[in-house]
Formats: sequence, structure tokens, C-alpha cells
Amino acid sequence: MKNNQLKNKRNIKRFIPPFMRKKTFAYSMLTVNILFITWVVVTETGLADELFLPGPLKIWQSFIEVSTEGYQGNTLFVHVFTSVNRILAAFIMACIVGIPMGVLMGASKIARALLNPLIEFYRPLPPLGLYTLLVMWLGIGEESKLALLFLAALPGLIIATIQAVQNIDPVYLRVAKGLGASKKTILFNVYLPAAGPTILAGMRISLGFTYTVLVAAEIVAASAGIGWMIWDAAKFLLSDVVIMGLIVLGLTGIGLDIFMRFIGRILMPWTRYLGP
Amino acid sequence: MNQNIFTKTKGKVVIDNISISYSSRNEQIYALKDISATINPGEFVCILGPSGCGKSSLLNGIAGFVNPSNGKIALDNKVINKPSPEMGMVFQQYSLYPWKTVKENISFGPSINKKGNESPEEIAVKFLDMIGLSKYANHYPNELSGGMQQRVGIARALANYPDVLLMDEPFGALDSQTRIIMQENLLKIWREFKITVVFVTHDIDEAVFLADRILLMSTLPGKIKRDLKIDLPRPRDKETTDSKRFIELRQICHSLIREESIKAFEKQNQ
Repeated sequence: MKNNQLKNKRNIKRFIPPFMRKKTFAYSMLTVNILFITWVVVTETGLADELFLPGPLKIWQSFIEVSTEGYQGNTLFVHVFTSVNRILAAFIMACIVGIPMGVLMGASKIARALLNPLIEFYRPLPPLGLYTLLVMWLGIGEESKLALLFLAALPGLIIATIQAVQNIDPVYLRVAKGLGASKKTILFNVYLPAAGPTILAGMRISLGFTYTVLVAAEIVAASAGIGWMIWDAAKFLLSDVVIMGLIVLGLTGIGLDIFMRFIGRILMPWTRYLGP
Repeated sequence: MNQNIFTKTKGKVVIDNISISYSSRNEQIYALKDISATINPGEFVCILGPSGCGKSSLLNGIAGFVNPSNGKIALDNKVINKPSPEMGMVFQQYSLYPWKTVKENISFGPSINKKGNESPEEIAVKFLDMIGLSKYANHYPNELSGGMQQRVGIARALANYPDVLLMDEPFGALDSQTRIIMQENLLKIWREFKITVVFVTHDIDEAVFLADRILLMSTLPGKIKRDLKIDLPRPRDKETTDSKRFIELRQICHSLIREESIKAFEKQNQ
């Protein structure tokens, strides 16, 4: 009898994602709930002006409305899809350029000295300032948007990759050199896998940062995109659409991050056993 | 004495008057000074000394990771100036690739240096069997205990069929029980492969138990203070460590090392 109950429990457990099974998840949920309840109380009692902070119900209605009827001619799905497309296109390009550059800079002092001024100069520039120049050069079309997102993604990736390569335990390189391994073998069997977990962490941070630049990238001459939707709705004081957009933006960001970690676990199955 | 000398011709290491120095704060510091020694094919030599005596530098010199500032080291009459697959190195710890499975770690070397007609895969299977870890072929190193990891480390070094096995305090991180078992296993492997072993340690019991010969090192700068023959009968086991001769030899090493440790200690406190 008891055995059966246990079995049932286990069967149910199978359908719950692993991270939700953790005790810490309950604490995280506590924070979310407190935030939500505060929101409900503040809006229901009229403590906050509905014009600036609508209640959850209003946001939900706005979500349904934009999902089905759309905002300025495009449904929510199209907005999200357009933005995620832009981000991923720019981010993948940044990975293709940034990771090899980072490996090169991490492994060679000369490469580092040559390329560092480039990155260190533009890295602290505010994205909007950079954007004006990009629009002048590339026009107001898709190119300047992608370029801005690309430039936002790049430095974080490069710096993380440099760090990752420089922190490789020298004994790993010694082992390979002792075996007489070629440079190519060392690159694919030592540098990349040893640096992999740190590069992935850098990719996650970089993707997050690229995400924060999204609204800026979609301000000018866009007709779709979640960032543009928020910006446009703010002009008409549609705070429900703004807040709904921000929530969707946040959830999409979390979704992308979970996706990245998933990819990481597939590509680097050993990371499960790292750490103390 | 070691009868392997007559059957084995490869794996002779000649250290010819070498010094290894490095600069620190504009000062030239000698890790090793004017060291000469000959290690015969098939011999098991322990380099024994207190920490900081440069014994690891000497091993790295033999391995070709560090080039001596004077003198030369040769393996079978070939000067060593870079690492080569003729030398197998077992490191202190954590040197297995955590991103490769146990089997992949062992087959990595053979896949680079193809020797004979065994495939890297076959070699890995063979050595896994030898170290008794066939069950763990597809595990990652971090799933294994320290002792098991070091067994894989030894298998990885041997998988290239080197002429010399270099070991840098390989059992230093293990608990004393595991350590003794590992030492006995190592002797078994050494007998089977008839390979030259250069074993660095600061543990006197370990050195006396394992070695044909102990090179006792002095500190600052590192020199060979004494070339001590260990005439304990082989095969050695638990009984060896209880024998009178073992205790005598240990005593000799102990007093020599103690002198050096005190000297080093006083120098540091000046």
C-alpha cells in the first residue's frame, strides 16, 4: 500500500522539471507571490493611479487583446518573434566573431595587444550614442539595428572568452604538449572544452546585455518588435501595454537563458560533475 | 640488484651537469645547480627532498617542460629540449581532462601518436582492464575518487608506451591507506612493463619502499646530496616495511632530510 503511494508520488514527480523540485524554488516562489500580492493590494485599494500602474487583471486583458487583435497591426507573437529573431541573429554573429577572437586574444599576447584598444574604446560607449552613428552609416533599416545588437553582444563575449582561456590550468596544456599534440588538436581538445563553461557563462551575460539594448535598437523606424511596442505604447500613455510588454520581455529573456543553459548541458555533459 | 638492466636497452636518462634558474625580482635564483646523474634503463629512481629543493624542477627538466640554463639532459643519447611521447608524465593531481570520459582520457595520447597496429580504442580498453576500472570507462573523472583518478592518470601515461615514466608526487593527495595500495600497484605495473621510473616525492617511507636508488636532494640551490642504493629484496610488500634494513635505510634518509629541512627553514627565517 505504502509502496504504491510512493510509486504514484514518483510518477507525478517525473512531470515536474528538476529545478522546481528543489527546496529553493519554493523560496523563489515566495518572492514572486509577495510581489504579486503587493501589486494587487496597491492597485485594488487605489493607492496607485491606474493610469500609471494598472492592476494584474488589466495587464492580462491587454495581453489577450494584443495577442489576438495585435498592437499597431501586429500580434504579440509577431512582435516577440521579430525581436527574438533580431537578437539571435546579432548574437550568433557576435559568437562567430567574438569567441574565436577571444580564444586568439587569450592565447596570444600580441593578438591581445593588437585588438584590445578596439574593444576597450567602444565598450563603455552608451548604446544610444553609438546608435546615432550607426543610423548615419547604415540607414534606419534592419542593418543598423542588427549592428547595434551585435556590438552590444561582442565585448562581453570576448572578455569572457579571454578570461576563460587565460584561466585554463597549465597542467592541461602540459599533458597535451607532452603527448606531442598539434596546435589544432590542442585547440579542439584542450582550449575549447576547458574554456567552454566560462565561455557559456559569458554568453549568458552577453545575451542578457544584448537584450537590454533591444528597446534602444527598435526605437527608430521599426514597425514591429517587442521593444518598439513598449516605446510606442509609452507615447500614448498605454501603461498596460508597456507593463505587459516588459513582463513578456522579461519572461522571454528567462526563456532564452534557460535555452542557453540547456544547450550548454548538451554540448558539455561533463559540467554536471564539476565543482566541489 | 635490478636484473632488468640487462634485458632493457631503452630508457636511459643522463643528466649532465645541469642548472635550472629563474629570475625573480631582478635576481637570478637557482632552483638546481650542477646536477649530474645517470638513470639506467628499467631502474626505479626516487628523487627525495624537502619541499622547495627543486625536485619538481628536475623532473620538469627531464620531461622537457623546462630547459636547463646550463648542461643537458639526454634520453638514450638524444638531447631533450622539448616534451616527447617517449616520456610519460603522471602529475600531482587534477590533470585528467574533466571533459573527456575515463576511456577518452586514456586513448587521447595513442590517438595522437599512433604506434603499432593497436587502435587507440583497443589500447584504452586494455589499460582500463589493467588498472581494474573497466566498469568506469564511460564515467567522467570527477565522478571518481582521488585514487581512481590517479590510476587513470598512470594508465594515460603508459598508454603511449613510453620508455620513461615520470611521476611528480602522484600519491601526495591520497590518504595513507590508498597510498600504500597505489604504491604496491605501481610496483606491479613497473615489473610488468620493465620501464624506467623517475618518481619525485618528499615522503621517506614511500621512496624507500619503491626505489632501487634514491637521489637525496639538498635545498637552495638544489643539489644531489646523496645517491643511495636501496638494496631491499623484490618483490616488496607489507613485510618489507617491517624489515630491519628498511628501518635502517629510512633512518639514514631521515637524518639527511632533517638536516636539509632545518637549513631551509633557517634560511627562510633570515
